[in-house]
Amino acid sequence: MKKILLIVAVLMCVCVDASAVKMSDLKIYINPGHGGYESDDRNIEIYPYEYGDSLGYWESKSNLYKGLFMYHMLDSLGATPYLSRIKNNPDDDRDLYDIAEEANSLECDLFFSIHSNAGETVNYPLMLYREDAVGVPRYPEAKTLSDIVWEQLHSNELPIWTRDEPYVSGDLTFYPQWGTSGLGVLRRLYVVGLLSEGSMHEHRPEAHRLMNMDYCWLEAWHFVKSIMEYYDTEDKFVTGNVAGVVYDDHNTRENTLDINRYTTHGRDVNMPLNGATVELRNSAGNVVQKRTTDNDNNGVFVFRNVTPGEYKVVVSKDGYYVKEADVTVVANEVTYNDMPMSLKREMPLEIVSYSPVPAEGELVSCVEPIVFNFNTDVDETSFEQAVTITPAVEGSWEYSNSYKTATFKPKISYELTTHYTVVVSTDAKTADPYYENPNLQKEFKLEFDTQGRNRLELILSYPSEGDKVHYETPSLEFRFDKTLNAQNIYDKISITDEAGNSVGINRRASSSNKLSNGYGNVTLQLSSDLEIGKSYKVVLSGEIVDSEGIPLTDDVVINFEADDQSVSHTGDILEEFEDASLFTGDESTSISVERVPSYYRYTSRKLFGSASGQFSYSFADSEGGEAVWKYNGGYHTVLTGAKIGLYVFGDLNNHELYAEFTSGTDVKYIKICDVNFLGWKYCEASLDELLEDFEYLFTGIKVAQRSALYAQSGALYLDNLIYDASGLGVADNLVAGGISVYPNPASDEIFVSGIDAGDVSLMELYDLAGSVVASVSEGNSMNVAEVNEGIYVLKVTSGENVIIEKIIIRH
Amino acid sequence: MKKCLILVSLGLLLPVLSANAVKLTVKNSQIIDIGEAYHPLLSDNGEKLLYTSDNYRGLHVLDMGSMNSNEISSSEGAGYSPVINFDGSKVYYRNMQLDGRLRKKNVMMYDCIKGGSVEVLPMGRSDVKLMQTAGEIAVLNDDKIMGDDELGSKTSVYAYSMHDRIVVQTGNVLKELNPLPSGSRYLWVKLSPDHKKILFVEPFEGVFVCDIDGTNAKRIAEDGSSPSWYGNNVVLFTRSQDDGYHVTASQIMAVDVNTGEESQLTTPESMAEDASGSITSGKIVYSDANGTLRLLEINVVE
Repeated sequence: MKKILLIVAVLMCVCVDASAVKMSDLKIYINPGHGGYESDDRNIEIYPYEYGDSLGYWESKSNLYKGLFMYHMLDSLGATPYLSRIKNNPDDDRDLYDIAEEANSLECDLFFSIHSNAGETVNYPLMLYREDAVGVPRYPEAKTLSDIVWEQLHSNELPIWTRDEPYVSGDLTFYPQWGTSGLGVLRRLYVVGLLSEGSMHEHRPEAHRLMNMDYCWLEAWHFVKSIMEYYDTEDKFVTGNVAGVVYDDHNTRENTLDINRYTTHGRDVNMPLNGATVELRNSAGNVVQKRTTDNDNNGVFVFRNVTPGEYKVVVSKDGYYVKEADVTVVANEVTYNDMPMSLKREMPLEIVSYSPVPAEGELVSCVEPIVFNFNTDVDETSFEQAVTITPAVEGSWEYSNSYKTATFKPKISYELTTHYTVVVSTDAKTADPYYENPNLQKEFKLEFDTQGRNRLELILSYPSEGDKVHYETPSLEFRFDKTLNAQNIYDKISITDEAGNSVGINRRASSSNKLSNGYGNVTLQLSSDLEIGKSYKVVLSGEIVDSEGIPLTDDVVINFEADDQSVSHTGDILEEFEDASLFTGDESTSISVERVPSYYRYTSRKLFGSASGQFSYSFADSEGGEAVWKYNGGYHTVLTGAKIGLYVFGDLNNHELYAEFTSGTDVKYIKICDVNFLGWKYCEASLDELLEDFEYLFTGIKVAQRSALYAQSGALYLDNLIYDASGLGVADNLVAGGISVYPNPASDEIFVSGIDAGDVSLMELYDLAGSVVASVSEGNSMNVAEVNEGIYVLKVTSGENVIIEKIIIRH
Repeated sequence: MKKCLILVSLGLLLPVLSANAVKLTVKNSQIIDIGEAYHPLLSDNGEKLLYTSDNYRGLHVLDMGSMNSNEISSSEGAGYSPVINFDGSKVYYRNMQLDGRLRKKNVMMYDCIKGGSVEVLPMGRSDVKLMQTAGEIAVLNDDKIMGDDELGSKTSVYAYSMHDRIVVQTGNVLKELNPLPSGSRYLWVKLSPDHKKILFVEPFEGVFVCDIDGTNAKRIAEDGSSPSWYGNNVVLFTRSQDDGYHVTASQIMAVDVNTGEESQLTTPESMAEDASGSITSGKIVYSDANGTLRLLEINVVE
């Protein structure tokens, strides 16, 4: 212990109580945690020190300072203290087991391991004691001591604490990941002990304080006072202390702390003053102690061991007005008195620059902020009373650059195409409270005219009000007239069910701003299926803004219902879209496409079978394009008067989807739907446009570009194509040249009348795929009892005459 | 005593070539299945084993032949640094209690043959050391060796750490040694069985041995804790790593005090600690962080 550096002999007095414990009875082991700028030391970057600079903050250093101060206080009080280390070299990072053994071997009464904690946004003490098992303190006294120390440290008013509830824990409870080993220095102790995490050194203002010797001394003082309280010693501190922080009463610490990266609370926002002279004067006006705040941006001062009585604290610093405060010093206590200092500006307020400054005829965005830069920090109260904006607009002022910049942001926006005048009267002044002429010398005026757009517009959405949405993990999309500011966009959209429960969004599968031509959108992939038949509600917050900051303004509410679009519909399946070679992009008939339309078998998005067909298109311009795919499948005959249906997964691009039917040289495009939806939808279309008495074959798909500008490329997915001829109202007799076929629909047998049986050379029954399902070479009747139900085409050949009629078989 | 070089890792023989090397093999490595046990201490003849709990509460003695275990004490602190004589017939230990939150302890003697403990020193706050050298044990109270033959040999030589100093005591004659520069601290001070060398740990410098008069201090390991003699030429110790908060690795090492050559007896992942050996019986016992005791049977080959 010979290497101990003696610093201060603390004045003590003893009030005798025969039964009480004396400080001189005690052996205290002090373990300043970590040590020596080594790998398990904890270094952080604080202004102006780079990471790794030994002059900067290292936990080992502040731990050691506290330990040394504690040692000397205890020594002065007559106790027997021991220190696990007195230096801070790499060799001082001791083995945890031999630290504990030393305390055991020395038969100490208490063990203090001194640390600080990580934690950037918060700041509070944490006390840890040894447990034999989770929830079972090895020594109940260790928990009692921990409770006392926590309260003592928390009573220190120099830090800004973010937690007032005691935080005391056993080591096994706090570190469950370490099993039964717990804290190394506590595990092998058979001494009542604790590990104090005194405050959070990752919290930057706290790290700056931990660089200060007086601050470390004060923590040590609280440790010693805790020991007095724990033992209820007859010794008490007969002196008191005065502590506080010297800081600028208006300017912030932006130059010494990155406020965008690190957190500040309370007066830690303000700039602490380095190099301030702080004097403690007695009632006779004599200086009894003097401090100069250090250069580590904490402003801390502590007058130690002051005789109780009335004093005055006087703070002076170049460029600041002198500050005085009366304090009363009480024995065994700390009197806290912060010293906020007023900067001498000693100049009138000036506006050195401002915006907007539009060129002649230039219009200003309806959300453009108004910015003033001043020659010094402005007094925000007088400034806000001095400034008027005409016409009035709701908004707020924000200050930055230590109140040298004031920025007005309209709450929503300015009015459209409106002339605005901003006037700052001479009532605005600097923050100097003592200078006789701080006001703006001349009224200032700023004028601008606003543009014709001040609202973000929702121009298309899926769902729209009342839509039915296929229930399976649906996608929803909302399109706007301008690219969005996508920051936190998913937090500004809520989806709820009938009970108000939130419906989750799969953010990784969702996207935004994928449209062309300056439009904005957000596509939401829901994370679970919806419940068929239930109602849901989407709310788009009015806080959604575009890339200029122009807001949606009012919440948009859209109600929709979940249903099942995969239910089967009446009719026969003409095409199942299961094969990869069913369609080919047709370059010759496509118009204004950027590339040949493509077709793929697509297995990850389907309603039936194992795949759907993906039809991808990309138009060359914003309108007039057509993408055509030719059908390579079988022959599927359709007739006028029937209907077709198609399961379509839309892309919300609002283009038109057609099915192509061909009879000879006659090509008809039957419009299936406007693709103004996202996800699966069953779409039906009448075939009435087809010519009567002609058979048409399904021959292709076409997407016709509308003049909508949102997206020039996209993809549709098609699943089963249905042909529904049930509504044809087919007559029993079909007449062609006096020849009739009956009954129709037929169940067992078809008869041909108006022609002799001997004149019929062949009767053939075709299905809609073009295959012969039955044939008769003689006679004028055909047995169809074994033919499946459906629509068929009967071909009757008589000499050179051929009669073709459609027949419906029903059993 | 022949110079030995131990190099055993988890029962695997790893021979080391040395001019004076004696090859040691581990004949056997086994768990001593007595439940959770920590801080083992073998008697010099290897027939008795003292063990306690992680927190030093309670003390037991295990007969290494019959594997029968007896509780000596269930008291607080009874397991902290007890001593046992050569044949394991006598044990000194202490009880600790908090009186007005002040720490007090007494000293007890346990007779392993008859069973039962008697109080040797009453509860108090005086400096007490339980000392052991080459199977002889004694109680030191305020710098004086206590009592008569019942309390141990007063005439033997002992070395111990008192207030971080090395004290060599012959009878009631004390001699303070400072084998290292001023300001050094001395922990785990132990005299070799032949009374010629003193083993100690300087917490900032490592593990050392010096002559009985404090001269010829020699560092035998860069770092280590809980060292103990295995004969006169080999020291066992624990080497651990930590992150400043908890121990992340721990293993038993052996070092030849003449050559300084180290060997691992366990791996760092074993979390092994507190080895105690008996060269007479060729046994080493250690515990791990989970309270499992392991016995290594050592075979010495010329």
